[in-house]
Amino acid sequence: MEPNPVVKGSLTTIILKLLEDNGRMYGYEMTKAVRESTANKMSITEAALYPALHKLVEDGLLTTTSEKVDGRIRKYYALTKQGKKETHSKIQALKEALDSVQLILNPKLSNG
Amino acid sequence: MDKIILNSEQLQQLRKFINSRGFKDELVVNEILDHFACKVEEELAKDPRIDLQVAMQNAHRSFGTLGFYVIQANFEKNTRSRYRKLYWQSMKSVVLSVPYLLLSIGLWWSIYRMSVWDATMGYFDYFDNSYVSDLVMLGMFGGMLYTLIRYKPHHNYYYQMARQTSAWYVPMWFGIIAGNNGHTHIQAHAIFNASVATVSFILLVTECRLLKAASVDYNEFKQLTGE
Repeated sequence: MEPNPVVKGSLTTIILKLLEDNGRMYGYEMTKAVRESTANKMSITEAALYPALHKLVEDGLLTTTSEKVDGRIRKYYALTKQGKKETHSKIQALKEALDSVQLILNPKLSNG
Repeated sequence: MDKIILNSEQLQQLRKFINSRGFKDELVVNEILDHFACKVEEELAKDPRIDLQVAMQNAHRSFGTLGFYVIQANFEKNTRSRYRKLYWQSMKSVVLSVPYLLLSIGLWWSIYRMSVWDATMGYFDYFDNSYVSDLVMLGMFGGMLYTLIRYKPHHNYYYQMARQTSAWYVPMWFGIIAGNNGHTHIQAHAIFNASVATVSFILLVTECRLLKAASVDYNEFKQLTGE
């Protein structure tokens, strides 16, 4: 599956939204959630996911906890207070950008 | 599609597979293991006829051309930035703590007085350095030895990152102080000696705190893995 440029550009917002909906998630779970919720039309590669997660942790938007699950250590990511605030503004910004793209792709006919 | 969970023997095979791709550090291996195991489980659930070796190869291929390197690189970045933040926090708390502040002022004043006395009396070593400069260098060398004995070198990422983040000052100050002698500007040299000794002392305490944090992190990891 080719990496989708739209997903790549809005990866941070997608991660924040996933965590807002699910509370806490681990890396593989995020890639699976994107695949399943878009019926395999979109996918996140590890090469894109982990740098984005690192950046979000670095910026203080995400926090991590480790737990032993099924005999191995699993790292969970969750939103911080600042991350929760940032999520709303990022989703809003993405929606506005998508609306603008829609206007370009489907221009309304006007008289004159 | 039935959910498959790998048993401990299969997880051991996954660890060997990760090792065979050049990732040996146990912290890095554990960082890769969960994501890789989830993918292998997915492969096995999709087609139960394939064996573990094939599932591992398919799962590894799905990581792309960089393979596990992506996870390792980000683990390294995360650890490095965590220790860098911790370093500055530790330094701030050392500088702002009253006992360390008093100790630092005391150290600065003693070295300053000794330097002035040493230069006035004309006590210089074979390399034309004052004996107090030698004493400061010896103190730094002692501090470095102390950290090596107190926090023994470990071959894990936490220790290496903590050491790299905090031990930068030792060669730098060694070089600066060795190339400096106090024949002409006695006062300036005394201030310089005292400042180097005080800054090195603060940096040494910070380094010890960071190495302790790395050792706590590693012990927590060991507890989590149940070893």
